[in-house]
Amino acid sequence: MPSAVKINALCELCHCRKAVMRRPKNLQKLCKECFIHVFETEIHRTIQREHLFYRGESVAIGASGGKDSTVLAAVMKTLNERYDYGLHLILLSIDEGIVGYRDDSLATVKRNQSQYEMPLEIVSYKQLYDWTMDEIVACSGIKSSCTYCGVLRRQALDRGALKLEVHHVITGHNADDMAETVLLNILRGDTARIEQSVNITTNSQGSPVKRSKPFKYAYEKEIVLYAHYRKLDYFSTECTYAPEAFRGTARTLLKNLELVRPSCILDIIHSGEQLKLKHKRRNASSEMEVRSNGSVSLPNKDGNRCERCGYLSTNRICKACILLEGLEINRAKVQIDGTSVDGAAKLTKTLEHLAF
Amino acid sequence: MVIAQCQKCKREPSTVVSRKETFCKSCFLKFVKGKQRKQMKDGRFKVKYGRNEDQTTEKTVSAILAFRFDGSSLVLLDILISWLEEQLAMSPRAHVGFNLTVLCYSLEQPQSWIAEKATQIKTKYHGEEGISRLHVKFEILDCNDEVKRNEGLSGIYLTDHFESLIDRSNKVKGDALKMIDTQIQDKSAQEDLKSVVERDVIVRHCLQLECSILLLPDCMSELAISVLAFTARGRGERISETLGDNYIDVDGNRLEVLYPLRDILKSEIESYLKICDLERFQAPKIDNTFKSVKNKTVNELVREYFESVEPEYPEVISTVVKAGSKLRIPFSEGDVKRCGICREIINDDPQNWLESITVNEGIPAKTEEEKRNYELYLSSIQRPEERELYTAGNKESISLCFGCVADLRNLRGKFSWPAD
Ligand SMILES: [Zn+2]
Ligand SMILES: [Zn+2]
Ligand SMILES: [Zn+2]
Ligand SMILES: [Zn+2]
Repeated sequence: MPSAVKINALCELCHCRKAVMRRPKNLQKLCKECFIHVFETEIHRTIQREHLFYRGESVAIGASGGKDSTVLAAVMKTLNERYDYGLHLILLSIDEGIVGYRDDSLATVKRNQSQYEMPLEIVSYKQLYDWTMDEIVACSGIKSSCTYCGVLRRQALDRGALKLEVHHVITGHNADDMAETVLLNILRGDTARIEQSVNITTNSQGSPVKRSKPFKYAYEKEIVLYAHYRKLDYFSTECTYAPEAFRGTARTLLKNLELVRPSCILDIIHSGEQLKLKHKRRNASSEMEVRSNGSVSLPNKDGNRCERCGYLSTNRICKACILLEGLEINRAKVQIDGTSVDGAAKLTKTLEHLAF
Repeated sequence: MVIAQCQKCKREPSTVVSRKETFCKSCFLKFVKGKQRKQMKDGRFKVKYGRNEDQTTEKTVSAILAFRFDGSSLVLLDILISWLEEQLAMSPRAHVGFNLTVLCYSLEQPQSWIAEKATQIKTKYHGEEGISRLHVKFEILDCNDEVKRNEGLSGIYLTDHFESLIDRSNKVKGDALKMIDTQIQDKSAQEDLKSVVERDVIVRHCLQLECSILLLPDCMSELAISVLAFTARGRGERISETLGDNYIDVDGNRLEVLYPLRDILKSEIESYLKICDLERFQAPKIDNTFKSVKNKTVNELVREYFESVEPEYPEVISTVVKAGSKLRIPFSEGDVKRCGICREIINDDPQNWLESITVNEGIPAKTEEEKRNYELYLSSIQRPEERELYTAGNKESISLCFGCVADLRNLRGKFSWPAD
């Protein structure tokens, strides 16, 4: 049917198909085909510019079943085939043990596994730490859940990757996450992190696992649209344990800024890349940590491994072990009936037996 | 009801509560002034002694106060005047520590308003005679005049590939400030470009007067807003210039910039204004109560953000300012390129950065219908006004900083500017 199409209803890039959307990043009117094309090609350019991968590399995709990581898996599969990166892609999921949230999202990841024909590995907090997130929250309250989860997930991803003999994990962190982190670091005055917060790849010194964020410049709204147009199967419920309140305020500010000025998200990332500290001072405070039982962990200069679990750590005891130690003390208090408190000991054992 | 006592003097009843402390009026003023003295404790500003003035003039530095008729400007002026008065009263041989030029300007108010308010303020400080005794001078600035010295506005364009171009062949007569108001729809870009004009006018005036010390009235809360707003506008490198380094380099001259009120909260400015009855000299404020988020500017959103989090996280403002002052200018020394719009040093090439993360090619027509549509499109762009960007005139390349390119991106690629 030859319809009289209006010129200004056409896509601003191909000028031949009807525009169906305004691109969140720059408000260009685009057709579906062009949007999918520019979205994928921009990720490809980022990967090329930053030399994120090498041919033959095994790469684990941190897969939560949510939109970001589902789109990441879909795009990585597409690009790997289209541009012949020669990557071996694996899905790596963490089961935090959050009933009703993680069960359903893991089911999504399992479907993704067959949809994208990628191997899937699931590591659970329970198996690694002998604690589920639900148990942690029951024990320490909901307020600090994100702190625990952040520390524990980081280690869990590394451990999962090493189990698979993979040294590169990619995550679905998007431009909005990056911009939010830039704002948060300024708002918290976290100068130690200000310079690194926008790095696309982070590789802690001597760490066997490198992490990258191919979606560093991809708008969250565009990820959602991409998933929508490609009809991707993802799990859209937010984590039951809502983010920490202050982070929430920064997120709201960012959303408002984006509303009045769509370029803001990229502009904040660009600003973040320009922030440089006056003089680098060795951060003395991070070298000494006071543990939850009051004892002090002194800096450990050479063998930077956690004494307890063997995980890479600048302190004698790693952050995860410190958090878990605090939890064990609480659990012990809860179990006043005298049942044997084998938590701490058992935990040490469990972690010792994990293959590194 | 128990009236709380001032925690400082433990005599007078408290009238102000700030930073969890109670103050009586005079202790509060002393507290605020103490914060300013700390920022200007440098020997240069100290009282000078000599039998007559000639003996001290050579040693007396000159400073310019950028006076924009807001609360902070009024408080800073009041503090400086009372400081100069104190200095003179110290001994019969005492002379003021520094000469002060009060540069009165406003980007919003008409010149007649500025002149009238300036007179009222002078009267408050005992008129011309009273202030000249303190070596204080008022000067009235017309921002439009300043801008007009550039003999016209040139069109600046951003191509689809983020290349910035300028058309110098077609200079248009006009005021940059009026152009900003009429030609620019985007309120945040408007705000940003106005602050570029403001800064340019003040800095150039300082150089003209051969004055090397600029006092800016921004208080801590206002500086925190600047830090976040610069970040949001892609002008992250401006933070260190504003807070970290304390100087501006222009055309081979170094201008020292001080924020004497950088330790004072906005709420403290408000209390000071009330106590000293200075509110009546303020420029009228724009009421945002009924504005939707969409109609707000970047600065307005950031200001509201701080207002909303401050009650629960009172330390956030000082934290942000402290973080800002730990930053340094990211550029290396050597060949410096300056932005054709705001004259800031260009650190990295915005075109490169944006091009590498933005794809601007679509998928070509495949079906018959798509090909027909494309033909239709091609014939439509034969009209000259549509092709202006690619064909018209003598466009040359112009170097712009990322922040100015951000404004152009949000304006979809075009505006006029008094670029030289
Ligand atoms: Zn198109
Ligand atoms: Zn450990
Ligand atoms: Zn008192
Ligand atoms: Zn500029």
